[in-house]
Amino acid sequence: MLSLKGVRHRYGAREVLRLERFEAAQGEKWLVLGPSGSGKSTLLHLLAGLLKPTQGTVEAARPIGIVPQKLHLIASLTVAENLLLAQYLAGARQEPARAAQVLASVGLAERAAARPHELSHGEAQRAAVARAVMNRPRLLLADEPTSNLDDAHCAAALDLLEAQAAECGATLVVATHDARAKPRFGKRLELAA
Amino acid sequence: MNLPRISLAYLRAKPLATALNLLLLALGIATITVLMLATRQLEERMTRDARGIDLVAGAKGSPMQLVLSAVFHLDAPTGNIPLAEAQALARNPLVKRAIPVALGDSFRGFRIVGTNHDYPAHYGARLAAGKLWTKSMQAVLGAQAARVTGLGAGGSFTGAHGLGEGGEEHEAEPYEVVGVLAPTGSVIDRLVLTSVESVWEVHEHGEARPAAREREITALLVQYASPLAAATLPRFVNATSALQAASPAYESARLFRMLGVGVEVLRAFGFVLVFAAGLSVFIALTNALEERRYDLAVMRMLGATRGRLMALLLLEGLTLAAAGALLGLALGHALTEALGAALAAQQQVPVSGWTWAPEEGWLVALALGIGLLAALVPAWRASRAEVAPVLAEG
Repeated sequence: MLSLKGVRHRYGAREVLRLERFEAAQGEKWLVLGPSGSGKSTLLHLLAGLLKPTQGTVEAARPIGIVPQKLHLIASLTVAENLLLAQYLAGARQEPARAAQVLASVGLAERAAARPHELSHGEAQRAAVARAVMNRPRLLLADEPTSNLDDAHCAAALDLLEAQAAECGATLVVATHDARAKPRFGKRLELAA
Repeated sequence: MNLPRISLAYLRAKPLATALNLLLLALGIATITVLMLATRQLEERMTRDARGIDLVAGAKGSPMQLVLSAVFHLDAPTGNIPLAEAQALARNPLVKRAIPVALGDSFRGFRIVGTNHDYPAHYGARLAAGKLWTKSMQAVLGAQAARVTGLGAGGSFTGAHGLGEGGEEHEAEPYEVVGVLAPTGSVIDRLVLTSVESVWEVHEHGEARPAAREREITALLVQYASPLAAATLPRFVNATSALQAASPAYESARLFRMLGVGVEVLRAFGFVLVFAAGLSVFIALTNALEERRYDLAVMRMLGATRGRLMALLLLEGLTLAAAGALLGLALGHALTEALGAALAAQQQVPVSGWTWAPEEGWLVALALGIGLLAALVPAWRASRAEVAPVLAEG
C-alpha cells in the first residue's frame, strides 16, 4: 500500500505539489492525470523516495520499480545486464534466470544481448519495464509511459504495465497528461497545474 | 554484475579515450622504468667490475678515461706507461697486488687484454673449457666473446689493430684459443685474455725485441695493502713518476654524477608524462560525469548508495591507472631488453630487461595514487548528484 498525508513540496520558493491525502491499497491501479507542471513527476519521485517532501509524510511498500519517462537504460550495458544491475544496486541476489524470464514475458527474449542503442523505442520501453519489475516490486511507478506513442503502442504500453504489475501483485501508479489512458483506470488522481 | 564489471563496461564504451589515457600513463611509466633498470644495472655492473681495484696507474691524461679504458674497457686508453715504472710501483710496500693490463688490439670488437693469471682470478673466473694460457700467443675467451664469435678451445684467430671493429689484422701472428671462461657477470665475459708478452709480440712485427726497460704496458690495476695507502699512494704516484693514479670508485661516482643530470631530466620527463596522464584521467572522468548524469541518476533510482557511485568512479580511475602501470612496466622491460640487445651487439655493458627493481613497486603505487587522486573529485561529485531533477528533465 501507499499513503501520502499533508504533503507539500517546494523547489525554492515555488510550491510544485500540494496533496492533503492520497492512499492506495496493495494491488490497485491508479492513474495520476494532469498537465505539464502539475507535479506528477514530483509525486512519483516522492513515492519512490528520491525526494523528501518539504512537509508531510509519505509511506510506500518496498521494493519499488520505476519506469522513467526517458527510460534511461545504461548504454554501455546489454539489456540483460541492465536488468541484473537493478538487482545488484538494490543489494538483491542476482538471478540471470529471472532476467531471462522477465525479458521473455515482455517479448525481449531474443534481445537480451543487445545494447540499448540497438533497440527500437518500443523495445527500449519494454526493457525499461522489465528492469523495473526485476526486483518483484510492491509498487510500480511509470512516468509518462505513453508520450509520443500512437494509439496502438499506447495501448500496448499500458497493457504491459498492467500485466507486469499484476504478475508481481504490485500497486501500479501511472503518471501522464495523456487522456487516452483515462478509460482504463478506475482510480484516478487529477492534479491541477 | 558488480562494480568492476560496470567500470570496465564504461571504459570499453570509450575505447579511444581509454586507449589514449592508457598510452600516456604507460609511456610515462615505461620511460621511468627503462631509466631505473638501465642505471641500476649499469651501477651494479660498474661496481662489480671495479670491486677490489683501489687504484689504476696509467699514462697521464684524463683519469676518468684511464679508469673507463683499463677497468671497464669502454674507452680508449690515455697511452702506455713504461713497464719498469709499473714494476717499481708493484713493489711498493703499500701495494698488495698489482695486475698489468696491455691493450691495443681486438677480435671482432672484443678487446684483447694482455695480463697475467691474477686477472681472471681477481674476477673469480672459472674455466668452462680448456686451460689458461701458458705461453705467448695463447688466448682464453670470456663467455660472451666465445658465444658471439663461436670460437672454442682449439680454435684460432687473428687480432685486429685498435679497440673497435675494422682495424688492420695481424695476420702473421694468429692466436691459439686454449680455453673458454664460464660466465661471471663481469667485464671479463666480453674480453679476450692473453699474456702481456703476446701483445708485445704482435706489435713487434718481427722486429728486434726491445730491452726490458723499454717495454710498455697500458695500465696497472692496484689493490692496496692497507687503508693508509689510499691517503698516500695516489699522491706519491702522481708526484714521483710519469704515471697517473686514478681511483675507480671516485671516477665511477663522478661519471654517474655527470650522467645523472641527463638521467634526471629524462626521469623528470617520465614523471611529467605520468602526471599528465593523471590530469587526462581527471578530465575524462569529469567529462564523463556530464555524459553520465542520467546513468548516475538511474543508478541512484535503482538503489545505489552515494558511496557505491563514488566507488564506481574511483574504481574507473584505479582500473585505468593499474592497466597503464602494468602496460608501462611491460613496455619498460621490453625497451630495456631491446637496449640491452643493441648494447650487446656493440660489445658494450650488457643490460637486461629480465630483471626486477624493487622501486618498480613504488612506481605502481605512484600510478595507482595518481589514478585515485584524479578520480577523487569526479567521484565525490557523482556521489552528491541529485536524482529527481535529472530524471524529471524532459
